Order: sequence, then C-alpha cells, then structure tokens
Amino acid sequence: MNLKQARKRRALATVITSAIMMTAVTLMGGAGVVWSQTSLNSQQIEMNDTVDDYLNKINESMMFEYVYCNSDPCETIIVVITNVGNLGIDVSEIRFYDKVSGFSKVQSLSKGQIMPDGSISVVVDDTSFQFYGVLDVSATTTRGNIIQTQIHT
Amino acid sequence: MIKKRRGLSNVIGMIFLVIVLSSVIGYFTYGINLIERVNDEVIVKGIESVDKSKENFEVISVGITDGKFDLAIKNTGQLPIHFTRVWVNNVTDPSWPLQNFTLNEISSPGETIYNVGQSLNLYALESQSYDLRLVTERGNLFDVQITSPQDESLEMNLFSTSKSVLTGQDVTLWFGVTNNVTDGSVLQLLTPQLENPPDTTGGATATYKEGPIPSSKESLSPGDTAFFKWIYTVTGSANDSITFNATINNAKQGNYVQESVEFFNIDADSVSAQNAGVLQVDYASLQWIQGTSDWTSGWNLDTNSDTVWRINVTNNDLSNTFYIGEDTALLLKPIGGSANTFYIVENATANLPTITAYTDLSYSIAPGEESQVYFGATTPGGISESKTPANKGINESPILMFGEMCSGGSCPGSGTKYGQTIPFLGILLE
Repeated sequence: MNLKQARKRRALATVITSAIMMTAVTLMGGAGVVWSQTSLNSQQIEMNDTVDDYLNKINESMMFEYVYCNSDPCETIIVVITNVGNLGIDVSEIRFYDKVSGFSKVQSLSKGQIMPDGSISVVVDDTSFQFYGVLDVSATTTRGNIIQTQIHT
Repeated sequence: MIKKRRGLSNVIGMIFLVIVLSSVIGYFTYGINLIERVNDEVIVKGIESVDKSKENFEVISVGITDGKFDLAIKNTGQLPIHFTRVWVNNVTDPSWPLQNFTLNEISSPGETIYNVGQSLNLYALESQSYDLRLVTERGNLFDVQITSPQDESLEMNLFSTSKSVLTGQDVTLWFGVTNNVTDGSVLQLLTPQLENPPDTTGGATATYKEGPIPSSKESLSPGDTAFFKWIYTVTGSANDSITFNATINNAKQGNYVQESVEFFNIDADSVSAQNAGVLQVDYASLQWIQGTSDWTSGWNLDTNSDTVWRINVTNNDLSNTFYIGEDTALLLKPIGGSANTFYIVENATANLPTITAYTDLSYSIAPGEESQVYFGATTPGGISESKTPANKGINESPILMFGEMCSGGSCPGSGTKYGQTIPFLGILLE
C-alpha cells in the first residue's frame, strides 16, 4: 500500500463516518420534531376541548319559568324550565330539599334536553312534599350548571 | 471538504431549529387566541347578564275587558323588551288548570303597550281572581295579581257632608274604597252600590239626586283609593236620622260601611256657633294651585310648596247672610305633626300662585247660596303665601270658619258672631 492509496482510504472513512453521523442527526432530529409536533397537537386539542367545554358551560342559560304544586295537599310538583340561552342544554337532574330536616328528593332526567327558547315540564311526585312549608329546588345540567329556586308547598 | 460537510450539518440543525421554534410559536399563538376567545365570550356573557338586570317595566293597568285580560305595560328601562309568554293561574277556582300562552309582544324603551292579553284564547271572569306571570325573552319574570273584590275584605269609608242636616238639604255622600290587599294584587272592576232607599227613622226621607260619580272604577292598584259620590235630597224633622249603607258589587259578605245623618232645627232668630252644620262645603269642588299648575282637583299635593286653595261653601241659614272673618282658615295638619295654616284671601291667580289680601268681613254668602272661598295666606289679611308641610304623608284638613251671621240694613256689624269647624278633608302629600 503506497501513500496515495492510504490517503484514499482515509478519505473514504471520513465520508462514511460523516454520512453515518448526518443520518443519525437527521433521524434523531426528525424524531424529535415529530414527537414535539405530536405532543403540541395533542395539547392543542386538549386545550381546545377544555376551552370549548368552559365556553359552553358559561353560555348555558336557563331559568325556572314556573314551579308549582299541582295538587292540594302538595304531592305533585311541576317544574317548568326554559332555555333562554343560544345553546342547547341537557338537564340531568332536579332536586328538592329541605335544609332544616335534611329531606331530599332527586329526580334524574333521561330526556332533559332543551333547545334554545324551548321549555320542558317535569312532573315530580312525592307524598312527603306536603310536610315542608318551603322546599329548595335546584336543577343541574350535564355541563354542571345549577339553578335554584324555592316553592311554597 | 471537511469544512463543507460542517456547513451542511449547520444547515440541517438550523432547519430542525426553525421547525421546532415555529411549532412552539404556533402553539403559543393558538393558546393566546383561545384565551382571547374565552375573554370575548365572558364579556358577551357579562353584557347579557347586565342587559337582563336592566330590563325594567311597569304594569300600569290591569283588568278584564270583554272577557279578556287587558294589561297596559310601560317599558321603563333602556332596552327593548320582548314578552314571550304569559302564565295564567285561576286563584278562585282550583279545578282550573294552570295555563300558559304565547304573547310575542315587544315594547321599546319608554313605550307603553296596550291591550296585552286581549288576543289570548282564554275567557276570564271578573268574579274570579287570577295570578298572571309575564315572561321575557331574556328570562325575567314578573307576577301580577288580579283580585276580585269578593275574595278580599276591603277597606271602605263612607262620609256625608253634612252629618247634621236641615230638611230639604242636599247631602253629598263620599264612598272610598282602598285596595288594602297585602299581596300586591290589583283589584278589578269596582262598581259602587248604595242601598236605596236608605234606612230612616221618624218621617225622614232621602231622595236620590245623582250618582254614583264615577259609576265604576276599572281597576285599583295596591294602596290606591277610589272615591265615589252620590247626592241625596233629605227631608225630616229634628232628631230624625237617615243611615246610608254602601258597598261594591261582588263584595265579600259583610264587607260594607254605614254612615248616618241627623236632622236638627235652626232657630233663625238666634243663629250661633253651637248650630253646627249651618255652613257646608262641597268637597268635590276643592281645587288648588301649586307651582305652575292650573287649578287642579284631587287630594295629592306636593310637599313644601306655595299653595292656594279654593272650595265652595254653602250658607244653609235661610235668613242670615254669613260675613266671613279674616281669621277664617284652612288647616293642613300632618298626623302627629303641627298644622300649617292657609288664611282666607280675596282672590288668587295660577302660574305661579299669587294672592290678593282679604279685608275682614268684606266677603259674604247670602242665605241658601253657595260661594267660592279662597285660602292661601300665612297671616290674616296677609299676602304672603303659605306652604304645604315639608314631610310626605297623610294630612287632616279642617276648615275653620269665623264671621258674622247678619240680616238687615246695618250688616255687617249688627249680627251674631259665628264660628264653625267644617269636618276634615283628607290630603295626601307626595
């Protein structure tokens, strides 16, 4: 092997080494970019979902249009809830309670969806309603909003 | 060669760096946009809440017309109001189901909308009481109670002028009905009734002349009082009496009021102060001026204002002329307070009130005649105008008449001194 041949081999090794290193750098860099993009995307989606949930929650607007006893003595209470917002709502439960005695009656709703400007009327029966002068009434939506009122029984 | 390869590595590194940095910047930009969106929505929500709290309106009248509810609603706020629904609950008849009706009435700020409820497919009875609930698009509720008189015992008062009467005299009966219902209900359709003929003793008679004026009152707001007037001509002898009974149509059983008048004799030759009732006022003729107002009837006046009054006074003495003394005065006395005095004046003009000083015994009322008498000075014969009391509230207002009953050529001067307190007016200062 003469000096000229030796120089050629050294150059080849340098090229190969450089190619390997560049490939490695490219792969690692690419992997890093892909990972970071994926991570940022998923966090963006999560953040977007969180914000959407929050906005939907604060945009929910409903009211008790009428809450009244439909019988005397009061054993049936009719609750009329109206959606006065511009977003559909889903009332998941209506609760009647008396803070003094601890009485509580929870009525779960499977069809509590109310379109904007719409109303639902919910009939709740309980023979013990008549024993409480004033009952607190609350309605909860699936998004977690709660409205409250009272009814004289 | 090596230097060239080092340069390539830098390029590749820069590319990755740019990619990573742009991703991070995009992420933060996205986050900031989201925060801005939340901020906007929260602001909008806040505005909606403020708007909801700014919805203000008054139900200025409510009643039943042609079997339909008839409401007049004034928008007293700064936002238009869309009334979307009304709930109707019949309080009198529990078998009647709670009903709701679509309204779709829009009221601009300051606008009064009338005939609300006339288009409802519902027949309402004046003999029954109702709870109405108005619902607005923004979600506010407003309850109105319409109460039939037959469901409540109402405060009633009956006054006669005068209580002591002469035969052949006209007696004016004032019937007041106050809406004292504690739940804030509006009373509907008050139609007064006076038993005719009234109960009498001895040979007394009472002949209907006119009334009731007004014939009815469509509705009466909480705390308000409606007055009705009748006039009867009465005849009888001394110590005979007539008892009037007044109530309203559909009144609750036992809800009525009575007032009696008694006859007395006048000795024309010795008219004196003990003969109460010789002078009589026509309460309906009471008028007053305050500030820039013209002569105004009614019982509601402003506090602490220069005021001049006038009222018709009748001299029931058929023989003597009554010469009015300068001490004659109308008092305005708050309940529990001290009275403000309005002495007689010669005359008065409105806008702003000005008065002319009165000279003692210069004005007279001929036998059996009626004359208009003005009151407004702070002192007898003065020209300084007296004011109404400073505090709001109800006031008693008697009229103290002083003067001389006199007949013949040397009047005034040769007659008999005469004084009389004419019963109370009721005045409300607001």
